[in-house]
Amino acid sequence: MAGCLGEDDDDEVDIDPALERNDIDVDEIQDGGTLEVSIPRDSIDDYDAAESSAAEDTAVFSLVYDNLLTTDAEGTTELWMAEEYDAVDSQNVDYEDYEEYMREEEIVEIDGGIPIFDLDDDLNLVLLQHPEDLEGAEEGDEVRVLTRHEAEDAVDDGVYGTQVSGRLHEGIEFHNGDECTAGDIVGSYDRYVGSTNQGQVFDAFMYAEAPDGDDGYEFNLYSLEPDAAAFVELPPIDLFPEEHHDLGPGELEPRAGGPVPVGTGPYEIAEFDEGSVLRLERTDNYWVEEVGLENLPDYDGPADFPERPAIEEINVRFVPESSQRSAALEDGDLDVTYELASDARNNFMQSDDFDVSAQESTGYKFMQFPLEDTDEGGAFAEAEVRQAVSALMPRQTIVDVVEQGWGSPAQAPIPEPASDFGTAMGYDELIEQEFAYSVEPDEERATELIEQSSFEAPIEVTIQTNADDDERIDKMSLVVDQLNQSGLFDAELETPAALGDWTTGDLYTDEAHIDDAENNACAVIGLATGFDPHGYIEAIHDPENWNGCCNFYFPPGTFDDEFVDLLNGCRFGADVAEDPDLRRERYDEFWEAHTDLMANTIVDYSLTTLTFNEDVAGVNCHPNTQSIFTYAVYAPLDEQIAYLDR
Amino acid sequence: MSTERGRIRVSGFETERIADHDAAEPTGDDAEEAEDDPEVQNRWVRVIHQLKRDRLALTGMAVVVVMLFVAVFSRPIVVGDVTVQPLSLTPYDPAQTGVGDRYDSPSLTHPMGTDRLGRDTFSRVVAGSRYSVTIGFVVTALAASFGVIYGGVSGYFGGTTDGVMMRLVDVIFAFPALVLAMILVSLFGGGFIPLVGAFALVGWASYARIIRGEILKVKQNEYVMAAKALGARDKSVLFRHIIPNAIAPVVVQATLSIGTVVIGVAALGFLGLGFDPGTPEWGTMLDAERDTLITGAGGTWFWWTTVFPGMMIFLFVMSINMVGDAVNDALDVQVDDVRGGGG
Repeated sequence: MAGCLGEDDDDEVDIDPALERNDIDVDEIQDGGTLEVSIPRDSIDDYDAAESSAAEDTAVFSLVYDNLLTTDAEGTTELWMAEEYDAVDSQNVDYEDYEEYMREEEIVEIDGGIPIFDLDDDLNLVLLQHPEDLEGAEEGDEVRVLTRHEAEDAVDDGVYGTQVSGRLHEGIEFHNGDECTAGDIVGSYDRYVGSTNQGQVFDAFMYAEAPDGDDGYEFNLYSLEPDAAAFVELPPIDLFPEEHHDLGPGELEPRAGGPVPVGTGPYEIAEFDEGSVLRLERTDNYWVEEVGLENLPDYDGPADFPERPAIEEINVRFVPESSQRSAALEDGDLDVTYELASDARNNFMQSDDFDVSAQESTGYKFMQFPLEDTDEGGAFAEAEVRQAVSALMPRQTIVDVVEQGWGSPAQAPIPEPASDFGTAMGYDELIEQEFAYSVEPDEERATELIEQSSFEAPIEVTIQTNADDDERIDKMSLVVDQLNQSGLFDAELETPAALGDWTTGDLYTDEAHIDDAENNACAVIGLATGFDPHGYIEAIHDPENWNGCCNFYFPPGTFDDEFVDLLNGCRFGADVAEDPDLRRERYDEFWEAHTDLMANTIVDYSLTTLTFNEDVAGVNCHPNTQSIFTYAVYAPLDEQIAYLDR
Repeated sequence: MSTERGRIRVSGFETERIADHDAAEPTGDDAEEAEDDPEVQNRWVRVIHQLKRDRLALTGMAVVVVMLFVAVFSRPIVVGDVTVQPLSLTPYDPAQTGVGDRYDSPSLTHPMGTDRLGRDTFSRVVAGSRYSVTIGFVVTALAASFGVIYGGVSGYFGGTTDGVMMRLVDVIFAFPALVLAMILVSLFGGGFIPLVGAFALVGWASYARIIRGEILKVKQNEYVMAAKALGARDKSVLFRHIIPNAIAPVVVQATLSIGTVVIGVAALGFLGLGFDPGTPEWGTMLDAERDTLITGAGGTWFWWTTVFPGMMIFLFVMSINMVGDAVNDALDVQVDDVRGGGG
């Protein structure tokens, strides 16, 4: 397969210039103007940041909401609205330490093996269930639980996992003029109770307090378990002003008559309309001007660097089709866009009138196998079959042909930008390990593996992926062809639910792990998880995250305890929380177990890209799609600012 | 009338004779030919004679026949583990990636170039006829068969039966056919059989309505009343005496609908709803390469990836419609309600 694909270098576009930074001269910055940008959707999914899970929404609303911390283009976490911020201490605690603070609650329903409780307070939720009570528990049984209400008592008695303490800059104002204080940090957590993003916030977080009162600036955040990632995982996703603290999930939705989102970011929402208009205006009370760049602990740039964005307005357009975005950019209707087809991106890159900025990103595509050992099908229950599929994956060809070089083949289970805490041996050494993924198909190895399995070649398998993602379909077409050419598999590609939502409709169901196992069907989707290495294993493996993004095949009990302990031991524990080197060593142990188990295999790592016309100067791309606009427009810690030069 | 004792023979009502006679008076050349021939020509023989003289129809017919031939022999046909058709007209496996480089322009090696994954476009276009062409014939055969029976029963029995059955037809017509097909495909998934089912389910109604209208006329003829008077059963009257004499508009409708089905399947394919991606169905191929239509600043248009599949859809639909028009003229019926997406 693909024998000559990608080998002809004549037409190959050199993408290295796109990876270089576009520097500007501060003296040449022009103030004002309207930047026309587009997102690849037909509308904002949800204006309420607590409820929205769409990356495109976050890409827009990160212009409206600033946070305690920020991440630079290298993936380094830096202080932003927080003047001080540090992980104070960690201690080994487990459920027995919380026993005396637990109360008894009745299970009103069991949904997919998960007990549901009906708590008296809408803002309350169960943080921890007593594992001894859960064994064999049924509807109507009373079990001991720790809820948000009891968390304060536990913290007061010094029972918590990790404590992070910090202090806000004084003088930060929301767009509505209210000052942002520690009370707003504490109150913002309430907005996530019962929301789509509840799991993301409360998977580690236990309690927040404002020791100097709600009007003060000091805050303490506590995790339930000793957590090496507490530093970046504990802050709320967004900070809301006091007038929004009591709004339930989804109520911060102006299209439904709710209030307009208000944050502390550089832009505020000036105008909106369903699916057609979203105009952001630069706020006139941006906190960086009030606080001063020189007072930001992590700022070491020039004294004359602007303390607000140069661009006055941002007009967000909704253009779902990549070809339409290409046309709009070419016609001058857009200044900046992203997620173009690789061919179009190449053409814009080679044009004198356009440019592309790219950055190694934290996004990746992965293939997840159902491990259920079913009577019918069940091929993926055998590790050898899964490993054979991974060994045959033409990762280099996928990147060369489909991404046209705008990405990198997966060689390790984490990308380089997220490897700082993810390996003790250095990334170059990690990808040389025996367990590293092969970038070229290894038919010899795959044949050995299939011979070791109890199945006879060719094994019928189905690869499923999203119907609405052409690049993903092309990548999997190459994989299917390679599997078939090997003679070891009889593979086919399916794109279920062409009109519906495949992931929520079919994958995140209680039956998917059995149905797909019976059909020898695996699934390929994409994910971006940030710079913490644990994001690359927890989201796609953790049985406690079953049917949450992005574990659709591994309910509790799928993996043996040793594997789960190894997984959790990389992040949770006072030892790894206090000793980053130990944490790195743990990950190195885990990567080997991870690739041996091969419940997931990574296909490739992406680049984030912004394509823009010559009217925009100084555009640089951020590794996280969610930060792509706010970083390009104004990120002074990286001396990043874009302006219009029409 | 026979005077033979014990037997009654009614003469002049033999349906075979009636079927052999064209209802319309022959005109022009036909009249001359008819005058030359002591026996009035069989309707279908006359249709064939007329088609033979219609060069456009003959051209269309030739294209359709070639495409059907290609559909059969493009790739081997395996039923179970038995290869029932071993020939392969395609130079490459249409699913195999990397047989050429990415977007190779047309050449002797790849007469229609290659696509974005280095697959041979000629092989894919040729293999695509098996999906795109055959589905038109299969859907039309199924939809016409069911529609004729349904409409025949409705028109023959009339009254309440007709009223109830035709309301169902109205329900089918109340939905835009392509939208209804889209809903069915999204519910039951894509692929050959679901697509055949979806288009047949929305397509039979037009045949039912056409034949029902014809039957309302034909069943008033004396030979039908005579057959009933002689005690022929309804099934026999309907299928032996009425439907054969009412089928002409259905044949025209069917011929014209084949192209409509092919267009409909290609449209669903272009919307990503037909076959699984990678299937060399012409509409699906167009969908996969639509990004090449807008290339970005100064980009190259890889025209062969969209022009050839699009041209094949055009060629087939144009050809089958030319045949359909000729059949329409030859049978001298008026079918003007060919509905989009129908079958």
